[in-house]
Order: sequence, then C-alpha cells, then structure tokens
Amino acid sequence: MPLNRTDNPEAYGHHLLQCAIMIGSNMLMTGAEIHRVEDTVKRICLAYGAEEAEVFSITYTIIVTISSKDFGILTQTKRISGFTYNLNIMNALNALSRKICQEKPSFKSVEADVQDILTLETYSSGWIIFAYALISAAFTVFFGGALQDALVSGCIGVAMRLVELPLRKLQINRFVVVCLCSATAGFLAITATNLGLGLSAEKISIGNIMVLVPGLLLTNSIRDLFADNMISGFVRICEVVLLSIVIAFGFAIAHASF
Amino acid sequence: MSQTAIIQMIAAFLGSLGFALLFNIRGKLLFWTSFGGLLDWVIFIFAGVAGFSEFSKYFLAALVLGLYSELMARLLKTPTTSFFVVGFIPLVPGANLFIAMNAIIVHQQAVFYENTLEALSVALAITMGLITSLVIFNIYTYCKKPIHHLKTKKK
Repeated sequence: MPLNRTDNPEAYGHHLLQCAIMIGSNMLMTGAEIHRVEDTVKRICLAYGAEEAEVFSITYTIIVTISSKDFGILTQTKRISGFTYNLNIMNALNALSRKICQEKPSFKSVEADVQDILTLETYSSGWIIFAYALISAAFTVFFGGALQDALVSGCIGVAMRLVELPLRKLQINRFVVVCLCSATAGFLAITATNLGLGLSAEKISIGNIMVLVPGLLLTNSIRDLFADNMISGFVRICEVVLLSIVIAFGFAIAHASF
Repeated sequence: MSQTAIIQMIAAFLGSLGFALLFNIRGKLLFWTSFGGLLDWVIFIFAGVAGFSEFSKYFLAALVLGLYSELMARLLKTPTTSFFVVGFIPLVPGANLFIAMNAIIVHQQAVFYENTLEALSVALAITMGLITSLVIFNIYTYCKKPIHHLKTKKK
C-alpha cells in the first residue's frame, strides 16, 4: 500500500525519516565524512517536502528532526555501530541520493534500491589477500627496500591476512586483532632476516605496517575537524592514536621474543 | 630524475591501488583513485628537484592531490572521499612513525623525538595543503554561483 501524504501525513513523515536515515547511516558506516552524511540526509528530507530538517550526526549516531504543517514535528535517531569501509557502496548511495532529490521516487523503490546497493559485490578473499601483499611489497620498495625485501614483505602481507581473517570471524576485539597482526608481521620479518631471506627487517616491517595504518580514518578525521565537526574529528583522531599504539605494542611483543 | 625516483613513483601507484582494492573501489575508479597516489608523489619528487624544502614538498603534493580530487569528483560525479582517501596513502608518514615506535622499544630517545617531530610536521604540511585546496574550490564555486544566478534570472 503506497503511503499517501494527504491521507496519513504522520505515517508519511515517519517513512520519509526512515528512508533518509537508512541512507545516511549506511553512508556513515561505509566511510563517508560527517558533513556529507548530514548534507545528504537534509537534502533528502527537504526534497520530499519537509519544511525544515535539522540533522545532527556524530561518529556513532544520527538524529533527524523534520517539521511541516501537515505532519508536525517528527524525530528519529539511529545508533551506528560496525564500520566496514566500502567506498563502492558509499559512492552508490551518494548517486542514489542525487537521483532521489531530482526524481523523488516512491519510498518503496528507494528502499529496494538501498537493499540492492547494500548487496553489491565485494572483492573475493583472494583479491583482498592480493591487496595485502601488494601494499606490503609496494611500500617496502617505496621506503627504499630492495626487491628481495619486497618479496618477503609481500609474503608476510599474505600471512597477516591469514592471521586476521579467523580472528575477525571469532569476533575478537578489533584492537587485539590489529595487535596480533602487527606482532605476526614483526616476528616473521625478524625471522626472515635472521634466516637470510630478507636484507633489512626494518624495511620489510615498514611495508607491512602501511597495511595496518588507518589512512582512511586519518584523512576523514582531518576533513571532519576542518568542517567544524569537532566531536567526530577528535573521536576519530583518538582512534588513530590508539591503533598506532596498538601496532607499536604488537611490534614490541615481536621484538621481545628474540 | 634518478631511477629510484621512478621506482618510487611506480611503488606509490601500486600501494595506492592495493588500498583502493581494500576499500572495494571498482571499475575505472580503481585506476583514477590510484592515479592520485602517483600524481602526488610525482609532484613531491619534482618539487624536490626544484629545490623546495621537505615541508613545502608535502604541502604542494597535498595541494595538488586536493585539487585533483575535487576536479575528478566533478568530472566522474563521484564523492571526493574516494580520491582523497586513496591518493593520501603515499603521503602518510608511515616510515617515520615506524622508526619512532621502534625507538621506544629500544630506548633511543633522540631518534624517537626526531621522527615524531618529522611525522607531525608532515601531517601539518598535508593538512595545510588539503585545506588550501578546499579554500581554492570554495572561492571557485562562490565565483561561479552569481554568474549562474544572473543567467537564470535573465530568462
């Protein structure tokens, strides 16, 4: 049953909020900045006939209040947890929100579109392992390592992914996972150099560390901060610092075992 | 330009490509986002050849990356985020951070201070570069708007 604004304005308003928040929260979870999320949700609400839309979002929540003469003042909030950085989904949602503002399709079709976008293909685990190896090897060379070191670093990249995957499946605390990954990387790098496979454990590890460095978080936090979203910016900066400490701690464990 | 510089540029591209894969970027975007990583390192190297200081090199690289991201976002109708996030990767002072962490473990205070300071100054240079590019595009869109308004009003 399609909702009609004139018959049941309040239900219409709630459905509008639901759609807008669904798109906003998924954008936030897949790696959008706060400013983009707030802007998108606001535009969608206004496009569907809300007279005013107040949107507030921080890293962990979105609060939206819309008002209009027929449905009054309505508010919905959404708690956001579980971040999976997937820029393909984010780009698709961004394109969808542009389409919504231009064509104003029915809520039903918007919901169907969002479901389609959320089930968009991701790279297979083989590709992800390849990406880990590629990043490790490339940055070992980038920071002045020899080709031999790059090969070792690439292999360690594969090992890191193989350690990470089962730990993620067990739903172990993500900081512990990162710590164990960096410990594995450090341990293997030192072992490889001791065995004479690699030339410099330092150069190998620099490549491996780049896989773990939270680059997306750092870029987004800087952009959040300078877009006047202090809370989210600092929350993410804290996360970056914490992750860096955890990575260092992992390497310390590896060094201590020799 | 030395051979190591060229190898470094290729490595910057491949490293960025790896992150583009991790972030599930697809199709032709995969190339254009990674190209940002190559571009800022090319700028970095050429700025070095032109005799700029370390700080200015990072500043210029980030500035060009910012402009590139805004431009490509408009051309390909995709959020700037993808270009920023992937292109930024080669500029991350990963080596300094790693050496600083290592210095903590082996108790080398001088090395720790030196590398932490360098990482901070790099971060500052990159931030300034990105902000400058944002400001340039703000001015550009501001200048574009009134003209657009006049055109629609005339009709």
